[in-house]
Amino acid sequence: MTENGTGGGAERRRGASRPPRERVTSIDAASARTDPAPRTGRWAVGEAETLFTRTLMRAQGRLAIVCLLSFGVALVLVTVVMSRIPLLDAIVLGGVPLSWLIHAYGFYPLMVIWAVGYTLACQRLEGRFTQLVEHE
Amino acid sequence: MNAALSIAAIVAVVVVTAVIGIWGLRISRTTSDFFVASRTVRPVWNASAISGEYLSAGTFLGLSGLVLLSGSDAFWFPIGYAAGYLLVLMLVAAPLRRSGAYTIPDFIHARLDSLLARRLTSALVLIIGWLYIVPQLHGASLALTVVADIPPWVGATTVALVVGGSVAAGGMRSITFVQAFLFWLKLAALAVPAIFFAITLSGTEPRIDPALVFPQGLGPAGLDAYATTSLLIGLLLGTVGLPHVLVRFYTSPTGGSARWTTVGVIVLISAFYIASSTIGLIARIAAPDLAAPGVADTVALQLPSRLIPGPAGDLLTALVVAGALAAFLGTSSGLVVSLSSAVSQDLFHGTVTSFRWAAVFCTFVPLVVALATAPQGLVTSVGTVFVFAASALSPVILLGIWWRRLTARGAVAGMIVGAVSCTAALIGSAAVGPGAGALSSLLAQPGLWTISAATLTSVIVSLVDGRTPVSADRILSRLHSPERSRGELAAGG
Repeated sequence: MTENGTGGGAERRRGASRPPRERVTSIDAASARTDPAPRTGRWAVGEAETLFTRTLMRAQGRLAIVCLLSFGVALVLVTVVMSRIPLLDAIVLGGVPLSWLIHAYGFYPLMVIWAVGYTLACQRLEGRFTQLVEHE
Repeated sequence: MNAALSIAAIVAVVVVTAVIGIWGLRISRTTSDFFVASRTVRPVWNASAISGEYLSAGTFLGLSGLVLLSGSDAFWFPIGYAAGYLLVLMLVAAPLRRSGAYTIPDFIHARLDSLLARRLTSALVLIIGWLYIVPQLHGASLALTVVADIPPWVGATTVALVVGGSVAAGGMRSITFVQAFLFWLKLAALAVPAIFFAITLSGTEPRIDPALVFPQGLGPAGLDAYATTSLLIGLLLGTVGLPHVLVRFYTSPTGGSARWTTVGVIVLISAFYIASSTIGLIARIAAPDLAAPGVADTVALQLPSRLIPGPAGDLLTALVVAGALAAFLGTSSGLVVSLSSAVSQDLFHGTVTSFRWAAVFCTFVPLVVALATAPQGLVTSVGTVFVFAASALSPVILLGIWWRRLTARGAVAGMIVGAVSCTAALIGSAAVGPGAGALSSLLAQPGLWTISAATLTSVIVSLVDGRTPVSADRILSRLHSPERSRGELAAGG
């Protein structure tokens, strides 16, 4: 099922023989039900921690939504520019109208910029959270 | 066109794939566990492997064909496929890595504690996977027919045999390197010819008339707002629901590195799509006579011999053929592995023998479908699979990660509504045809309303049901908490 939840079981099963992938990953109904009450080793669920993780989850959700919405706005802006400005059809580079070139190539740099920006922001967020929890 | 050279290229790809595969297997033998071994894989290789599995016949052959056929609208497909990874990055990558689940059914089962939801997810994963393999096999038929005048069934059967055989032999699972190699081969097989074509074209006279080759009506100016929005949302969300996308994130050591791997994937697939789009633009200039349904998808294979006569053109053709084969092999084998593990776990308690039979079964069904149907436009067929995945699975996956109150019944209801409404729309679209105005558009691009319907159903049924799984808080906190430290991870993992 999960890396931590069934970690002990997986370890035992791994030790028994060569590791066919299915045995490590299997979550068939029977084994899922006989597993001990699942607990995560990484973050024991104290009340303070639940509060922290909920705050973190909300912050991550907010960050993702802000990034997605702003990316959506950028996407719409580029689309409007390339489709509604006839001048771009008249400018021809290497035999191809500029509007076609924007459509073919213009969106990928945006994606890379947003991907890097989001990942950096997320790293900062999680770094702050880890510091906060370790202070507790 | 030199058929012998192209067939030599095909044989070479199969042999090199097998050699790297065997070498990769030996590496994984030396470690206690394959998954630990793959954590030593550098992010660049990991990202290459994910990209290698993701880029299919749809964009390798299909994109240039669709640009030729219907103009710049075709560019929305690769834009959607790439931006889908942005969505994966922001909403899915790190949480799913931290969930520890290997497959979507695993995740749904763990999150909702419901066997019914798990079984339904598995069934949908199987359908999506099969639908996705069919265009790959069609692409193989098409490619072999063009380069060597071989009957269509040979190509599809060859790829199915190679994929089914290698997965059943147990090879593909451990081979991150094979997928990574296939990615670089695919990129080179489009980028190198594109550069040669551009050089050749820039030297030729007379110049083309841009207004004829790139007419305004087929360009960005002819944009249909509803169809474009619906398609893009379907493609974006569809990436989240694809069965073979999630598995690869497990090879990242932490959620944080899963994010950086995803950034790498976005960069790599963007580079590939830029090369592929360039071939599409060149196709409009150099091969307008191929702009007919069924033939257009072969344009990437035919361009080299048209633009560069002689042995150089033959060599480039062989390179493109090798890349196309890499596209069929990479995607199909990734899918067959995901499907076989789902089938063998859900139906046969995951024994090795059942995995092998499942691999045969999971290859055989799409092969029959591929042989029984005529190839449609490759890129649109793949797009349809994305929209189906986006309607049936993605809402539940996203709600499962981000919404605590999702219940098993809500998820089941959402999946059924999404799958049924999307299927109905696609059947309806075929029945109504393109002539019925707004209705045709709604049915041909159903993503916008089917995804909304599935999401709303999940939310409403969950709220009415109210039986939030007791483990919801614990699982969500795990999905969204950063790993504490590498030392602890090494000790615990």
